Parts: sequence; structure tokens; C-alpha cells
Amino acid sequence: MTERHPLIRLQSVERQYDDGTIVALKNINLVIATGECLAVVGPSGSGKSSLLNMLSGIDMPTAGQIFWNDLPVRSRKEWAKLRGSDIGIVFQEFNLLPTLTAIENVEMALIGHGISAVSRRSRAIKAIERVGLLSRLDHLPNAMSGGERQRVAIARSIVNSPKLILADEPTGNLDSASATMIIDLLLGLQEDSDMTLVIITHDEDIAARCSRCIRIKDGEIIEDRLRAPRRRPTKRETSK
Amino acid sequence: MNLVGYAVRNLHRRSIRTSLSIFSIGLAVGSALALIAISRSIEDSTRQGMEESGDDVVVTQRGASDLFGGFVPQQTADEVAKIPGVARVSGELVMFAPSDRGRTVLAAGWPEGSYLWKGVPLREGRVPNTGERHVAIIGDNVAEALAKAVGDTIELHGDKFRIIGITKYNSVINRGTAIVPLTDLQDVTYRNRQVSLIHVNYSRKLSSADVARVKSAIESIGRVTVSTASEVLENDRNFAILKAVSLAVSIIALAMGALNVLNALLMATQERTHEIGIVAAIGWTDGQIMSSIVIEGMLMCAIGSLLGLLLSFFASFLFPMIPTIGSYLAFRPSVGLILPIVGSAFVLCAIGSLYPAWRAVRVPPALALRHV
Repeated sequence: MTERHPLIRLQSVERQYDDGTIVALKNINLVIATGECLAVVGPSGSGKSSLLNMLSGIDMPTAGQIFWNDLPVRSRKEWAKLRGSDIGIVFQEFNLLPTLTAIENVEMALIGHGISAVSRRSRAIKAIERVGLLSRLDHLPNAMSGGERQRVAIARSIVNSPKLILADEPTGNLDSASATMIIDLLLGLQEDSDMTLVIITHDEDIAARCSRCIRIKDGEIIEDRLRAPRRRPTKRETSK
Repeated sequence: MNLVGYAVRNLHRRSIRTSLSIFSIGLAVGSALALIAISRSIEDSTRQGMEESGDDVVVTQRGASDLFGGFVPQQTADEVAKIPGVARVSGELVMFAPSDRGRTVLAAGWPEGSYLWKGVPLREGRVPNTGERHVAIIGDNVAEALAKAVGDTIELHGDKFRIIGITKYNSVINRGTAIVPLTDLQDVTYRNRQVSLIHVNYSRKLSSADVARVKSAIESIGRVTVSTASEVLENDRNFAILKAVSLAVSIIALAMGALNVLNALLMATQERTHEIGIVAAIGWTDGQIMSSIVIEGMLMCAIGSLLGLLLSFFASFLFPMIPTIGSYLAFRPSVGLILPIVGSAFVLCAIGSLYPAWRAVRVPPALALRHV
């Protein structure tokens, strides 16, 4: 097996709230390599989402350092730039802008990159095509199902061809059929483009489909293991 | 979709609040424009009126606070006339006088035989003959406002004057003036042998040294000052107060408009904290987020300013219809006035937008995303 290059590295990262009263993450040391599929599991309040916030830079550690491609990322501006080009985030609550249509929501991730309006449009259409929602381009979020909204959110996260996709409980608000479709979609995109995928989940079945799984409890990584990902169940197996 | 499109969409989604903010900016810009235009128009109209008399300078009481507040002995005009370099002089008594229908008109008294009578542009009728008393020639605006014609009478300070002519001056102030023999106006106002000012024409094109000499000679008569039309207006305390009040009210109106923008955007950004978290999470920089909010403020300001312009032009058409003042005041917002006022509105709105924008990016994205 060839050695993969570390994409993002957390070094002694801690996150405390309320002047240290609440400790969400304790001394986290974690290396995520290029092309990895990583599941982060743990009970509610264990620090999974705090970890995702650190990995995406939407929150800053109170101690420790985070490296992207071996370079430390320190400022909000550096993180914003990374999220604009190299990191895509998929949230449990979809987090689409309610006044914008599906395509406009996707285009929002391309604003400020010096891309022409025509090019933005065509890239957004391609991203929506990849998630199979071409028929919903001009629909507002409230006119779409939960699964469709999440697919728009995924299209938004991949429109910049990121190196890392962070998915925070992406199936948490979906029925089981939609959940399976979303996980299939995310894993399929990861395999097709060799990007790194981190899925935060409390669902062991979803975690089992990733090649690496870390388990968090009380803000600490208590388990980190590699395993052969379980294959996608066939339709017959699903129907049984 | 781009920053402007996103801003427009956000303004549209809270249409009532946006409309109210735009309306308040419109009122602020409109009232600032109207107030300053009116104050300037009074000054310009007075200056134009004085220039229509063809004066080089006027002589007024030294230290008088304004044109109507100082008086000079009528005989001073004779003394000024004797100074070398002075071609002709004429005293004039001028004041506001209660008239028919409860209206007030500007009344001017000119001496019998004054050169001023010869320069009157008449639309109809004639000027008074030698020794003719209790007659008046009135401006066309006065004739229209009071529905008077040649042969009618006009009341000034309770006395009746027979209208013998109607003038057709260009300046609004002269079009709103009733001119009567000086002696009659002195009688009805208890200002015997007094005038408000003395019009002076130089005999030829004097050098600046000659002008200084003549001015010095006139002022040596005592208790008088010599000024050009512009200097009279610059030193007039009424105009200074009018300008200061107009400016102050305009600044307050514009500041209120900007505060409204600030308030609207503060509420909007507060409500949209979660959305600001979303755009931050998808990679928008602080600069982009702030720009989108400032663009919203600037859009409101642009539409509000346009509304204000329309309102001020609308008001300028309605203004002449206002009883008592409409007949001798008129204003039109000029480009020279519009640019600084709209420019000030934009600066204030930018300040009013920057604070909510700055506040919006102070919230870490993770915290903003938790905001419901």
C-alpha cells in the first residue's frame, strides 16, 4: 500500500468553552491523509461536531495547531480561503439559503473566486448534475424534499472541486431511503475523485462503509482503526 | 447570482422594512435638498433683485443686522451724490407690509424723480407722475396672487394705493414687490426722512483704487457702510441664520436617514446571523460578507436618494402655490446642490451599513450556524 500524503493534521488541539468550564476537545492528535474516507463516531456531546468545526476552521482551537498540507493555518482569512477552494462542508440541517434557488445556492460557493457569471452557472449546473438534480435547478429549498435539499448541499460542497469534504451527520434529518442515497452519493463522489471524505455519524452502519473509523468520547479519541470498507448492500439485501 | 443579486434578494424578502428605510432616506434627501435650495433661492433671488436695479454698491446703516433692520437718513443720499466718482444715487425704503386677503407683500418706496423709476420694466400701465401720491406699481406675482389689475387698489399697512402699473421683472423678489412713492411709505410706516438703503452707481469704470477711495469717502459721512449686493447678503444676519438652520436641519434629516439604514441592517444581520454563518462556512471571506451587507445599504441609499430627488422637484412645483410666501420665493434643486447632498447621504449610509457589517463578521461561523 502506498503511503498517502497527510492532507490535514491536528496537533494537540483543544477546544474549551466558557473559560474552560466546558472542554469539548482534549489533546487531539489526528492526521487525515489525501483520499481517505474517515468516519467519526461517538455519542451525542462527545465532541464530534467540535472536531468537524476544527477541521473546517469555522471554529478555532483554544490550544494546539492545525496544519493543511504541512502548513499551519492560523487566521480566519486563511481558513475562509481554504473553505472557498479546498474544503466543502455538508451539514445535517442542509443549511441552504432559503431565498435562493438550488442553482443559486450552489453558485454562492463560487462568488469571489474571479469566475465569470457564465462559468459560475455552468459549473453549478455540472455539480447539480452530479447529484442528479437537474430537474430541480430553479426550485427553492422549501419546494424540495429533505433528500433533495441535502443533494443540493452536496452539490454546493463539491462545486469547487475540494480536496476535503466534511459531512456532519448528513443523514440525520433524512428517512432511511434518502439516507442511503446520500451516503451512496458521498462515497461514490469520494471514490470517483479521490478526495478525502470525513463523515461525522452515530450510525455504525455508515461508519462501517468507511476505510477508517475513529471513535470519540468525552472530547478524546479513544479508538482509531483501519478496516476494509463494507461493500454497498445490493437491492435484494436491502429489500430483505 | 452575484453580490448585488444576493443583496437585492435580501432587500426584497423584507420588503416592508426596506420600503420604510428607503422612504426615510427619500424624505431626508428630499427635505435637505428643499431646505437648502430654499435658503439659497432666497439669497439668490435677493441678489438678483438688487442686480436688476443696476447698482454698483449700496449704502446701509453700519452694524445693521440685516437689510430691513437698518435705516439711514434720507439726506445722506444727497451727500453721497456729491462725492466725485458717484454718478447717481437713490434712496429706497423697503419692508414687508400687510396687504389684502391677509397676505404680506414686499413694499418699496422710491423718491419722486429717482432714476429707479426709469428702469422699471412695465408689463402694463405707467410709473407715477410728478407729485402723484398713493399710487403703486406692483409685481406680476403680486397682481396674480391678489387678483389685482391696473385701476384696482392695493392695501399696504392699512392705506389704499391705486394700482397704475404692473411690472415684469425677472427676479422672484422684484416680481413680488409693490413700489410706491417714498413719501407715502415713510408716512404709513412712521419712517419720515428715512430710507433702508441708498443705491449708488459709479460715474465710470473706476479702478480698484478709485473704488476704495469712493467707498472711504462715503463711509466717512458716518454710521454707514458701503457694500456690493453679495457683501450685503453675506453680512445679513437673517440669511446667515437661515443658512445655518437649513444646514442643521438637513444634517439632522440625513443623519436620521442613515440611522434608519443602520437600524434596518442591524436587524437584518441579527436575523440573518445563521445565514451569515452559512456563507462563511462555504468560504466567503469577511470582506465578501461585509460587502454584501454594505451593498444592501448602498442600494437602499441609491433608491432613497432618487426618491428624495423626485420629492424635492415635486415640492419645487408645489411651492409657488403656498399662500404668503409662494409669490416671492421659488426654488429648483440644482446639480451643484444635488451632488453634495446625495454624496453626503451615501457617506452617511455607508457608515450606517459598515457597523452592522462589522458586527456580522465578528461572530465566529460555528457560533453563527447555531443561531436560530
